[in-house]
Amino acid sequence: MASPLVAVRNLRTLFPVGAHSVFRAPATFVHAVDDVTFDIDEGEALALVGESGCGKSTLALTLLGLERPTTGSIDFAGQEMTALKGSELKAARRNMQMIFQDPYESLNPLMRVGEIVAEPLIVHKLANARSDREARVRAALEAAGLKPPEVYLERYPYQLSGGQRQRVAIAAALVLEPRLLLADEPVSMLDVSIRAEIINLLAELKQTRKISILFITHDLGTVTAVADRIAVMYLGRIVELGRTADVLTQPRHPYTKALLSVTPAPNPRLRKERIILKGETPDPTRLPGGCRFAPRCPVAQPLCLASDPPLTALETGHTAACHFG
Amino acid sequence: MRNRRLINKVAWALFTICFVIVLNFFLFRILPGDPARAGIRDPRLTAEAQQAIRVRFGLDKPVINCFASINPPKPADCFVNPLDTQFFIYVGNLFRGEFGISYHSNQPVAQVLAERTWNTLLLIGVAQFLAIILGVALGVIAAWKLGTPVDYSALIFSLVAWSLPTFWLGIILLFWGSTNLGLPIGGMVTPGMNYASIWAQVIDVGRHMFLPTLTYTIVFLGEYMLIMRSSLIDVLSEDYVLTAKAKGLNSYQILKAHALRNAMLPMVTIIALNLGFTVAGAVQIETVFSWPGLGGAIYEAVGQRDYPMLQGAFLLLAVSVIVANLVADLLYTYLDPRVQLE
Amino acid sequence: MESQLFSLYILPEHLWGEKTAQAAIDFTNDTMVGSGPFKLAEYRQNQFVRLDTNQDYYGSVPKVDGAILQTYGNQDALVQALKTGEVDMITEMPNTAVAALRNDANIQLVVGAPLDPGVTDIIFNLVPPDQCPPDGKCTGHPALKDLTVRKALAHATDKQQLIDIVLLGLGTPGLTLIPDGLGVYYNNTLQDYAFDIATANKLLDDAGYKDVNGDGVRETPDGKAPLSFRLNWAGDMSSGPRIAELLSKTWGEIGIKVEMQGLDPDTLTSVCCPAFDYDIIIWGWGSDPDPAFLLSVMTTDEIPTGTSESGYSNPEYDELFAQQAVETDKEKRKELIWEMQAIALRDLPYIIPYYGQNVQAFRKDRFQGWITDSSKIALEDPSSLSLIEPVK
Ligand SMILES: Nc1ncnc2c1ncn2[C@@H]1O[C@H](COP(=O)(O)OP(=O)(O)OP(=O)(O)O)[C@@H](O)[C@H]1O
Ligand SMILES: [Mg+2]
Repeated sequence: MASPLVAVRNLRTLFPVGAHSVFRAPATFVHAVDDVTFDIDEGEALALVGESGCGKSTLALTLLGLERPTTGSIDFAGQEMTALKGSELKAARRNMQMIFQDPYESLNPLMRVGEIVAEPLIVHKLANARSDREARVRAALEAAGLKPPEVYLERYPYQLSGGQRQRVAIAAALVLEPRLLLADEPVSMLDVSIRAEIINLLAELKQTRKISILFITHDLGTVTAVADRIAVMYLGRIVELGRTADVLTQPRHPYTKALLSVTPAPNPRLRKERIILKGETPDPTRLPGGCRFAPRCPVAQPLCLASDPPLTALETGHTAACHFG
Repeated sequence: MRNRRLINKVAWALFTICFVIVLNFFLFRILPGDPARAGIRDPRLTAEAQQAIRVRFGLDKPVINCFASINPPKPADCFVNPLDTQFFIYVGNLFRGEFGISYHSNQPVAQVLAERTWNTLLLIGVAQFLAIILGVALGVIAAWKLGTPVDYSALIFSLVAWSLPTFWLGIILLFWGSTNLGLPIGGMVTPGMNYASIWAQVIDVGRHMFLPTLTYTIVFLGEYMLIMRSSLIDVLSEDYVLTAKAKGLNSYQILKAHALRNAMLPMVTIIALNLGFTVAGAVQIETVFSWPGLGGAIYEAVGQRDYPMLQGAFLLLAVSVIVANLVADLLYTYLDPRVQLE
Repeated sequence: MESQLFSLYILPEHLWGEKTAQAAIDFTNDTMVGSGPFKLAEYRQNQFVRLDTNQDYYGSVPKVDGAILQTYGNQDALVQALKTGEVDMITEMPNTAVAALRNDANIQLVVGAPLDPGVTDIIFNLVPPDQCPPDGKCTGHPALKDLTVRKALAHATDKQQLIDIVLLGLGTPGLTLIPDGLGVYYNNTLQDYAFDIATANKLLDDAGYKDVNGDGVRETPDGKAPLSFRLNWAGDMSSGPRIAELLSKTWGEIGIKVEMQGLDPDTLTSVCCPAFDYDIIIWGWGSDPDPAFLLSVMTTDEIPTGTSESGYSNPEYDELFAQQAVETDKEKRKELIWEMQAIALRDLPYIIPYYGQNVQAFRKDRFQGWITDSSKIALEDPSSLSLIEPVK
């Protein structure tokens, strides 16, 4: 079996918080990403699901090297990312591109679409000939579904709709022909009517270009069309990981079950009773001992408060971190 | 689209200027007291002499049809030739570039104002230029080094500079500079100096300009730095900056390509407005350093109740504010593509 | 008489004889002709005047090559310019700077009456409503028409305190509108009303001004009107508020109240004269070298013109004014003028708090020979400038 494109091992990203200034050492830390391990194969789409604040974006930024991990390793195409600096890191980033949540904010309002999409080429000194560069920009725009590209080259972001903007962001990512696309909630700010288009575009890119995708979402309803596997994240941890169909139909972790129960399922027959989670997410700076989900878990036992369950394999490729899964 | 907006803006500015011209005229007619006596406060003036002065300054004509004077309101013939009233004579003179005769110096107001305006523009131009360059640079450094001692020092310096009373700072620098650096105390040139070359003259003016420019720069630098810093902090937290990082741009490239241009947008408005106001706003600095500028002229004219001078200066000030606004608007259209649609 | 000719100019008839008065008004006088010890070399308005010595001067030619009179925008800069030696002499300074300059070994202070003496005055509205001029309102408080009240106010005015606080000591107590700076015309034999609260109180008590309702303010003898006066001053006088404040304190001690308000000079003119719509005003006059104008201010003829601020009218005084105007004997004219001052002090249309002094200073290490012993000081006067020579 070929080695995965991305192999993440025991990754941890902590943020200092509290009375933090140059004069005083930080008092506490937010455990935004806390001991995460997973792989993404070549041409595979992994959906990362979890509620707001669980650390999804931080995980993506850490993969990109925009946040420094505290501990752990990231193996990308055989290269240890956490050890890279300067020009090596820049070169590695070429193969990893990110699409952000809000296309209204992720595009510089003062730049034309053509400039936005061409910028990565310039920065990485690729396609230095003008004609070559223009051809690649057009190709990227077309690949992102902006056809014909000439119409868009001279436009400013404010002249485009939300969906078109997100396509521009995708084109600017595609122009470098990356091997991994990190899509951080790429449709949550868009109109419901055009969400499917963008998701289908990502699915198509995966199919035709064999791009690996980390698809971040807090909405399980959007994952089926694109994701091969699903990782469910809770408070900086992955609590369940498995093939899309397995996780959606046979969720093993009570948190996944709760998530699924509030998601409008595409198939009404799958509809179950709603599980309403009681209590609040614990403060990520003061995590409880034992299972992190225990304080809100509808099926928690005394054991759960005492010991933290590890991710355990249940059946092929399906793991969950629950004493009773 | 662009052209329509341009025409609109220019038309609006012209309309405002017309309004100011009218307001400016009547404002000075609403003030109490006889203008003929306001300028010449010698009570021994005979009635004939006063009348002669009124004739000389055109004050014997009705203010406008139906009104001999506005305060106190005195009626007059409504069926006179409007062109023979003070108002239309004033408007007509304005179009010929005549602002009247100064009560005090007996010179044409336009001539006095023009000379003073150049002196002021020299001082303010250099000082604003320095304040903008240094303020923006300092603001960028502080925002870039957010939360570090560099940022804190720059922040404290700017807050202090911004809140220093101008007059006080000027006097302190004047004492310091004249005692320790041997710089001149006042004026624009050394009187009676024979310059060996044009360079000697430039150096002499430069020595006189140094302290007022320094004062002015410090006063404005703080404001620019604070605005630039907060504007850049805002921009740096935008997603497109993060996107740029993800694309592999380094810090310098991000500043250059993305952050600076966006962060400069709010600065443009503030700089333009400041320039508009400071044409006459350097009163304090000009007073401290005896700089023969427009601010000083206005200050003197108030003291001397030199209404023609005040009227001219007021108009100049209003027009410069309006023009500065217009320039800011147009510059904005040029810098920010989003503005066109509004 | 000769000083009244001061402002009459001699014109060449062959040039001006045919011209109208309008031509004189329009004449800008760009190429000046003169006969003094210095020639104008360069003039920049509000910046400086540069004078070159007139080598062909008929008198004694100045020893210096020329002089530059430079204008500074504020007095602090002026003092600093003298300290650093940018200038050799300054013609004025803030009174607050005097102490510091006095201690400077290189600087000599000169104190005296200014060349163009000014006078600060406290004006009483004396016009009775039945003698109101055509444009007048004549709303003055009736009690102020009573000389006894004005005398009491004079006794209750602490001139030395005013000098010490308002002028930081740089002044002399005032008597009438004719200041000490006018030299021989100033009557220095007059006896002023001494500052004495008890005397003032007694004057008012005896005249029947009693505080009948016990509110601390006296009423007129008929008991109708309290002795509460409007006290106004010209808003452009920096000393105005301080004088008013000090007056209200000592006058308060004799049961007289004032409502203080500074007024814009134009507004003050419109309430002053010939409207006579005020009670008491603090204001001032600048003077010619000749006293004739300041004397005219108190004549009956000037009431309708607005030059008379108090509305004082006394045929005896008017007669003396007419006489001095035509008296050609200098000594006799002086006698007439002295007598007029005695009348003015007796009748008190004004209280004169003080005559301000001017302080000038020069650097001892630069030029010597300045005229410092004259009763009026004017180091910038050509008489002084033509005598000085560099210190060796
Ligand atoms: N730069 C930072 N400094 C301190 N804390 C941070 C920082 N970035 C994120 N956090 C904290 O880390 C935790 C995870 O944040 P993150 O943005 O990764 O969540 P998320 O799952 O992406 O949420 P969302 O769905 O709202 O985007 C949150 O508690 C957040 O407040
Ligand atoms: Mg996020």
